[in-house]
Amino acid sequence: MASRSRLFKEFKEVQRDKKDTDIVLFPDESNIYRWTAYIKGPAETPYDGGTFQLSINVPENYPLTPPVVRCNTKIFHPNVHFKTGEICLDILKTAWSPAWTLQSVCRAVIALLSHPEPDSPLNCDCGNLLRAGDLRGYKSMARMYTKLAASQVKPPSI
Amino acid sequence: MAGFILPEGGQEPPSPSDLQHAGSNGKANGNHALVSAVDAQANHLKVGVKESPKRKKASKMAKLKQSKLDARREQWLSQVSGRKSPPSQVSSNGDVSHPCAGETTIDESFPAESTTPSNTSGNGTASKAVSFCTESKGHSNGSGSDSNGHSKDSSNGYHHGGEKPVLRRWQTQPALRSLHDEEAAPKDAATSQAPQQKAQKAKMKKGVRPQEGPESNEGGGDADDWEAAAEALGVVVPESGSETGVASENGSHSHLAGDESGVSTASEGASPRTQNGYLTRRLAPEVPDACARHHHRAGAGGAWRQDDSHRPGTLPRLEKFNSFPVVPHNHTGSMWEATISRTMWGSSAAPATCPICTEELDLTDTSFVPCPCGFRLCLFCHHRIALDDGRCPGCRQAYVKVEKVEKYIQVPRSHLVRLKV
Repeated sequence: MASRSRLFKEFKEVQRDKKDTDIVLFPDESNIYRWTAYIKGPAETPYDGGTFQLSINVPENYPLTPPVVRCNTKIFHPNVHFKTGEICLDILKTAWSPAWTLQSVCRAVIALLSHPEPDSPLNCDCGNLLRAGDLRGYKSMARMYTKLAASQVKPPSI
Repeated sequence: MAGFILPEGGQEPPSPSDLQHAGSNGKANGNHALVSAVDAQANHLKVGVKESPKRKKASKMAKLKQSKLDARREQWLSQVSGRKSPPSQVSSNGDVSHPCAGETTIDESFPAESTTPSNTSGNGTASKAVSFCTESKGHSNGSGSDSNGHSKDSSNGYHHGGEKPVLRRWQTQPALRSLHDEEAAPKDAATSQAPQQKAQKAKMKKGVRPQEGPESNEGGGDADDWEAAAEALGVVVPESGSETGVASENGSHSHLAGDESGVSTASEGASPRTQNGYLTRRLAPEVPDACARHHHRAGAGGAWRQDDSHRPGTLPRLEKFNSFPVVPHNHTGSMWEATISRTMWGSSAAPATCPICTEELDLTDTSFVPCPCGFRLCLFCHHRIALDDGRCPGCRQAYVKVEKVEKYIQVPRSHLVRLKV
């Protein structure tokens, strides 16, 4: 029950705080434990201009355990599984803190887009490009997939 | 009146000088005021002796009273030094077993006055001045039932006399005092009380601490009605019996000296409360029991107000409790407090709700800073985190283990049993 009240509180905060235009976060209409987020690709990255849909599954004992975040939009990123959309982010695994909120998770994902970590890749091709130093190749690939998959995504107008 | 000093001064037995003074007064002049004063004094002497073993009073109060006693003694020595009095008789008053004897002696010491020495059975000389009548009645009553005997001033004594004698002192007395206040009856023929009244006022001006009465009485066996006593003191009369006693004696002294123009006359003029009110109250049958009196008192004063200047210092000061220290001492040690202000969480202002479970932080939670980073959370969440992860949500540093405490808690069963006994 603590998770439910906490999620409701987060929902209120999200509704009240509309300043962050990079993130659109809302829960499922019938299930407070299922959330959907739309994040904008950060500027000066190959993901700029794209909008990526995240699905967030909140466990029962949230916030003691982190939410499960997946990227529903196809994205070329070393830390995002190209097929499943799984996100490899330390704060969603070991570095999770109950002080984090869903919105802060979204922000962390945005930060991850800006700063890929090729040393622990889920997308090995992308990781290899970066580890090989082929920054140009990586950027072009990422930009292409952003244009292909993420440019058409629009968050529902709330 | 004097009763308060004497019993309080309890360690100090009723000083012979007092008694002498009383007796001498009685002999010397037949003023009703004097009689009443002396009577009341004797009455209180008796009670004081009775209750002194019971009482443990604060040393502060003892000092205060003793100083007063000394002052009185000096007065007597200066004024009544030459007179011979029946101190032995009066001292017999002190004997609890024969309370009436003392009164009889005193009464006899005023033969010129109308007071019939009929002693124990209501002296009530109705033919005499009204005040005197009441007084004598109160006396008889006091002698009959010890509980009534210890009244603060003679006027109270009358009330006791008029009403149930069985009532415990502290149930009756406050109410009486309130009555005393309310009935500011116009001055009537019974001006004998005037010195007392005036003296009372004078003492009030002196700013004598009003809680003398209740404090001293708490020590007594009658402390069951502590609240009632405190409430009664909320009523304007903050006088403790001792003061009135001294004052009345002063007045009587002036009488003895023969300078009527002095204290006594002034007091007579000044005192609006005369015996009249008491008399009517006493005679009226509508105040039959303690309930009625309590009701009366509640209507008159009620409980202490926080801003009342006469509020006893012994009563708890609520504002102290309400103003909880802004920087509470947390369980985990205050050494972190200094570092907290510099940290990112800035916990100098504790959040209203737990950031983890969004429950409201109560006082314990607010003062609970489990981590030097200053991240605050409720005890429940902290417990869960400590069991599960063990790291602070704010800084991800491991919490300090508190297992030692758990070890201490595990006491062998036998020890517990022993503790129970």
